[in-house]
Amino acid sequence: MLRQLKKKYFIDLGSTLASTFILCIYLFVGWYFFNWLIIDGVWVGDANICKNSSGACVSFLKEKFTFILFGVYPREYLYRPILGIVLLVIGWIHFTKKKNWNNLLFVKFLVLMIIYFVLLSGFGENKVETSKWGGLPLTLLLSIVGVAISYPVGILLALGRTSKQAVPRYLSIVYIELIRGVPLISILFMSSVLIPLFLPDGITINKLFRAQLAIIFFSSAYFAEVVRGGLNSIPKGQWEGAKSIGLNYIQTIKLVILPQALVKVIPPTVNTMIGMFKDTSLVIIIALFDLMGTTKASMTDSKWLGFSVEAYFLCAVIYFIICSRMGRFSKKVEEEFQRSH
Amino acid sequence: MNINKKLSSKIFSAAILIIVLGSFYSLFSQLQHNLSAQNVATGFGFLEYEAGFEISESMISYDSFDTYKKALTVGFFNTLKMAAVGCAFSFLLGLIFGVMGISKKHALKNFSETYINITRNIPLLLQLFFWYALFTDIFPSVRNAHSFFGILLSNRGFYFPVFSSSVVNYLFAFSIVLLNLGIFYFSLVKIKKYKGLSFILLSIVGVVGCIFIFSIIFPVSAPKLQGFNISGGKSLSPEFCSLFLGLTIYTGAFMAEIIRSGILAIDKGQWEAGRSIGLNDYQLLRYVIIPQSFKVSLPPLISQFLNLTKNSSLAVAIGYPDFVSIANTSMNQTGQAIELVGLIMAMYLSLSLLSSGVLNFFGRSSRA
Amino acid sequence: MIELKNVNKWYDDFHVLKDINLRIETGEKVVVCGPSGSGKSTLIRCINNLEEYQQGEIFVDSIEVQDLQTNIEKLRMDVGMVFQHFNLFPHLSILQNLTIGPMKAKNIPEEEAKKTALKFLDKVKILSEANKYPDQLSGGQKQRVAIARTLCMAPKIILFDEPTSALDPEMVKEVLDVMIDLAKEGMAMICVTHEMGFAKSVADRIIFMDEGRIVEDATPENFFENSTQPRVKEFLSQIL
Repeated sequence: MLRQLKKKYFIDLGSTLASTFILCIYLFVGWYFFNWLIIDGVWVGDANICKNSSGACVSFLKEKFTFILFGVYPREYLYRPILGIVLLVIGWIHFTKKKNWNNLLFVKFLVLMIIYFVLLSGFGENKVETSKWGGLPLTLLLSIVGVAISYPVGILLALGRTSKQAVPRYLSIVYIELIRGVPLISILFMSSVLIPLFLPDGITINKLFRAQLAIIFFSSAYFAEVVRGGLNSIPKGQWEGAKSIGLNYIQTIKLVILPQALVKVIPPTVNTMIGMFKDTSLVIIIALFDLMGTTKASMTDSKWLGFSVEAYFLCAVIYFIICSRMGRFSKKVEEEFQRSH
Repeated sequence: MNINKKLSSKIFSAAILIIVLGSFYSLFSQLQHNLSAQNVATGFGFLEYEAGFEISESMISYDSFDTYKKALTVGFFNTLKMAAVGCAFSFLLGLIFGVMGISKKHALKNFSETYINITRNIPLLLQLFFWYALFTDIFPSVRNAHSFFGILLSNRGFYFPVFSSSVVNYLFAFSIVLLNLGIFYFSLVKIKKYKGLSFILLSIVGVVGCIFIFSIIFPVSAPKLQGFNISGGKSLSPEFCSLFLGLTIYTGAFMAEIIRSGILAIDKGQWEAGRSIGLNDYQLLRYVIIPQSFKVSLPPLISQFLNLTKNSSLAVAIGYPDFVSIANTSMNQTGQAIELVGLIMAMYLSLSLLSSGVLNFFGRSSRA
Repeated sequence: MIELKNVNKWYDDFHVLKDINLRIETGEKVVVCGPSGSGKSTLIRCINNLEEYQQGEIFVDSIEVQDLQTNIEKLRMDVGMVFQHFNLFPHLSILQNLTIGPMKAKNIPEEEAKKTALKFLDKVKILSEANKYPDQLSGGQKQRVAIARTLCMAPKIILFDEPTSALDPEMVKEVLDVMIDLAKEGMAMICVTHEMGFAKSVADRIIFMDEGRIVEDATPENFFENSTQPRVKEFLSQIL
């Protein structure tokens, strides 16, 4: 095995120089980090000890861990969001297995989301208001519901855009180009400030819902473009074959075109999902406390000031783990697809 | 029957049109009702009012007595500045890491993949907050600023030496770019082995030499602590620096991926055919590889430039006074959210339509 | 004019060229054949430095190919190559494919380059397609263009790397005809191919390679009738 390593990284002078240089960089960063976190790191002790040390204030993270993860969710009911997250992880593992891809998938997904929502919300005496939801469960909720609704909407938009009828086509084009041409922030602003102005008296929509709507508006346009790419890659012969056996437009789309198109664009679709998941962090700008928001809030505690780097580090690790898992799934699907073609 | 199908799709279209128009109408009338009920002003008249707030950095002269219109213009220029600088440097970063990613030296390929992997899996906002925290929390005050090679890093910003005359500064920048391009050509064509290494070494020597020569001939203004402030040199605010670093590093990773796949998309046989008729590496790149690669990569690259410009709107989260930041402040002061959000969207939309135009222009002049 | 001395090449651990010794005189037409994986393509690709070898020397007109002093671009202008998959430049027209080498690598003015290009396009009987693009041509046409592209560089010898293996059977003949014409006009060539009919009619020598070694090096007559090597006999019985 050592010989394989040598062959890969040290095969000639150029390789050796490059490998040594890069190795030095890695070692330097690694050592600095190790020093910061482990050797100089303050694992036990209060804020004063931390401030006098040059290492990481791990006790800050220990103190704030629950807050960063769950926000101000009542502590006695914490088992509910924890259970919710566990269920979501199990769901992810289940849904990413190819053999489970059938029509029952949608039903299972819907049931899972309802259970998740009920867990977070509770009822009767144990009800927890949406204003108290925060941290990772909120991020997951915004992303998953966001994807669940904007993906089908995106499919409809893509179908509209490739339609031969002028009305659906122009409406879709205007919507897609408008949304894709502006930053997510402006849509979040729009939804949080403008939506109440469009509502009749007496009806209010809470902030969480408004943010969710904004995310759905935004992502559906991006999914629409991804699906459109898939639709365009289906050869004309497929349409002709379907017509020749008497299928109508809706049947052709549902049974012939979409199954092929959607599978073909799984990599960019998952990329868009990862992007959406990261974009939920923007809701901090309209004062919602998702994972990014709670991280920032944890730094404002007057007893623990100045440990922003530690907090950002924890937040980054959580995002990194989730995003790279999704990315790995996308790569796996892409490789499988390459192999079978 | 055919007639039935055509009719039903027309009816379907008409139905959609009616629903959409109908909902717009009802939403609009509700909006008017609500606005008048809450006594909120409408219209763009507020643009002529005095803004009443300061802006921390501006490319044109501005003070709090100027109008909202002027304030928004300041924001617009700040957005353009960030977008231009960010696009340029993230493309450069993307070139460097993209080429590294197809290197035969596994260490370089690994380094490029690590960079791309880490940056793409962490939200941009988090990266921005991190860089900003670096400046505001980690960097010391101006009295104890970190200093090296005449550069000062403090929580008030990034201070660096410049030449006293601005003409000389442009000359200097121009010479550096020209020098590097020349060294690139030289290493590509005249050097047989270790082209990459020679380019790096010669480039470092060249840049250092240039700095040396210029600083001997022309007077330099270096930042120095004087009293409670730093005078001399030029500075970039922490807001600018963190937004720039975050945007460039983040977008650079996406650019690197695009450039990498753009080069890999070119069949190996093209390289071989070009070499076999005696073209040198520069000619090969210029006439065979890059024209083909460019066609593949240009749309996604432009889309990344657009993304960078849109992402610059996150400036509002760290206090860089871009267009969205200033519009946000104005929104809070005047309450005229609809007009301002409309302006924000109009501004970005026009930039995005402009780039679509550019893309179409290029698409038409190159062969399909 | 081309000489290989004790050439050895490894791909990682795989010894693909074993002690190759070969001499090819000016004007000779050599066919290289053998089973797949025997190293035939690798051999000729080493001659114009598209592949590198770890041991031995290759001389083209007394210039060693891997010597650091060698101007490899100049060497490649004298040694032409025609590829199995044509490798035409898709973004350039046929005419441009032919003129880019002479204009950029040899600094020949455009007018002259065009004249030469049209002359060779006529020679391979594709003059009418000069302003078309590669994706509008058939495989046989593309390969003939590829041959014309090489001819525009005025090479001293042309290396053919399985030029007809990627073509439909009907198009093989049109390409072989061009190659036979070239051979009759005296163009030196080393041709890796399975087309034994071509070998019989055109080759001065036939080289048989097996598992990285040159097993037989003989005139066509001796190769087909009098070979004593068992591997050659086995190969011939499978092919003919």
